[in-house]
Amino acid sequence: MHELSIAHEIVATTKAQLRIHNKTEICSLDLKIGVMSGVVIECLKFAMDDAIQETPLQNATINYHKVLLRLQCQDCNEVRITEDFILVCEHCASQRINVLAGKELLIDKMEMQ
Amino acid sequence: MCQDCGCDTANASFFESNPNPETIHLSESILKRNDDIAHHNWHWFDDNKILAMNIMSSPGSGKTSLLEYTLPLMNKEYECVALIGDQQTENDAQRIKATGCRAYQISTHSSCHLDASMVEKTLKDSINGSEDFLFIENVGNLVCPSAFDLGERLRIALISVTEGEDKPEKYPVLFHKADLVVITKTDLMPYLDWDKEKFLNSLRKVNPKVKTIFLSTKTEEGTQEWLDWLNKKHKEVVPCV
Repeated sequence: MHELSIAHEIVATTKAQLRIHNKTEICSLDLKIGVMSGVVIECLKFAMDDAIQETPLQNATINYHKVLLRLQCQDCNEVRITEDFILVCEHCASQRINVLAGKELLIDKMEMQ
Repeated sequence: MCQDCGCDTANASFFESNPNPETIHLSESILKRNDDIAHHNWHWFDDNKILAMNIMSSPGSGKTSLLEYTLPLMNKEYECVALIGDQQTENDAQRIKATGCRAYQISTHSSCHLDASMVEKTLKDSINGSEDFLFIENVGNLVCPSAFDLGERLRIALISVTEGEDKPEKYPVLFHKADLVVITKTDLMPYLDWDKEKFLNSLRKVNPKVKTIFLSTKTEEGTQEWLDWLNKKHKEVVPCV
């Protein structure tokens, strides 16, 4: 399960930020997880529960924000917000689709002290 | 109530005594560390004119068989090397070495995918920069490898005709990111009800324009198209050669 690797990366990044900002604890952490990032939020939560133990994150509130796919047709400009990764325009059947959102895997913000 | 001193702060927020935490707006990729190493790998390959490819598929789709077939032929004209990722054993690297070609095993132990640092560490002991092709065979897995950039220039997804035609829709991230989709074991098609059009329709939904090659290392159907594709891609990396 690669979510465990990702959980460890999140812990490592937060520790690095604590050092940079001369803080000791994370109060809250906001993550943005795109539905096409390759990461399942429920699996990440499970992995994080383990990874944060005995780290500066262990008492933090962790907010998982699911980012839906935002697909725009290059031919008719129709924008569709969906969880289904189908790169065909429902309006004109074009396969020329831009993925505007939904692939993110971000540490958005953190509160620390 | 606190069991040590009897106070009633046990239900209070852990951070109430420090009401002014600092907020950092980071907006940073969770995989930044991997991506930085991948970026370094990519530049090292580019500087040395090595065409690095990440080959991904489910277990048993034929990644190692394809490399067993490909490397001896490509080695007639190019210098090739393979990095093979598996959780345990060196079986697949040994298979490649048995063909007389260079291969190095990366044992990921508990990890279900390769990452950029694993490739970086192995490069130091396995590649000298004179190579033309680096074939990276990822751990057999249609989910996790797709999330980790290794620094490769090209991603190749394999699927065999013994797998369901709707695999691309079921595992869209890997197939969406592929630069080439190779459909293997086509020699088995007479014995299966595998629907080629159904598969292509499924693939087009997640990667409308990706090139596909149908091949069999047994009958050599499609293998010349595969070798021609490799040659063409190498010329794009080293245009003057």
